[in-house]
Amino acid sequence: MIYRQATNDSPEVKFNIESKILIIKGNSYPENCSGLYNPIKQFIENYNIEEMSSLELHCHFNLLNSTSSVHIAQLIMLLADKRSKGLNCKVIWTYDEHDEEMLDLGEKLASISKLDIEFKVELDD
Amino acid sequence: MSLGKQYQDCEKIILKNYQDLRNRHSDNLICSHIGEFSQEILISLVSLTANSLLKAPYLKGFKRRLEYIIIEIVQNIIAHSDKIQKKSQLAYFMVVEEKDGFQLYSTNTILNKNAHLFVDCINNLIESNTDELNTILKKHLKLAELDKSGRAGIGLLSILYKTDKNFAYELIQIGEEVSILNLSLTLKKEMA
Repeated sequence: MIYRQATNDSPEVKFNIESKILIIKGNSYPENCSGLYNPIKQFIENYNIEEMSSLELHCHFNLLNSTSSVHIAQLIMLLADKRSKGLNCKVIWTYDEHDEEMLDLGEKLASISKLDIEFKVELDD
Repeated sequence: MSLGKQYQDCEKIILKNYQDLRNRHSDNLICSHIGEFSQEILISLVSLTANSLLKAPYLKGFKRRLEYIIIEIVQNIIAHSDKIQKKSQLAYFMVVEEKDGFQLYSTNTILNKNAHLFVDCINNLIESNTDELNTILKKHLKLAELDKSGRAGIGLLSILYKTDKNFAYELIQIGEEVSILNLSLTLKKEMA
């Protein structure tokens, strides 16, 4: 199981075993990005395809440093690898209205991983 | 010149430049810090900037880009500013609001043996146009490589891409071993 509370510089991470949805949401610019993302990568690597059959990754970032973006690229590649081994997976990439750079990053990740990433815009209040 | 003397000279120059900049921008200063940099200082600088711009009529994406650049520059100082003789860090960072945009200043000491690597890297990036920077960025994401310390090493590349190369640097050699690295960036305003 995986859970991490959000802080000023790191996102909330949570997995719902019933819905099989893994959510990463918030800021991501910690000093130690590996400490944040390695357990998530481990979780995906160890994900039992036969038992679980599907996994949805929901990403919604506010502030993201460049090292975090590379860790996220690694996560997405891992998912693409799992898909090639039979996992039914889906990525939902939510970006805030006017945050074109977050949309741009999501599009780059879709392009390099060949995963179908669904984009959702969160409108301003 | 001894390393101790080079440290003292850096200290004098950095302190004087910081005070001159503060005096020049006393009316339009958004945030600044001099001395040791840490993740806690970074969080505080991001928060100060966000609060200063809370009611400002800029596009949300623009505010976020400014905060993003602050993060990359300060994490660059934390990771790459060389401490001289294991003494405290000699560095400062400042954000000021100008009529047409935001100006960001960053200064730190750097060992000459490391300065050449920085200069080679930055000159290669400056020579690339925005489309080429985009391609390099995408290539790094695809390779998804991290160094031994777990960093991606694409902070400067991202900064140049996001500021549309409104970036200047100056390397001032203080002695045989130490230089001062000054960076200045401009982010043009985008109104809502």
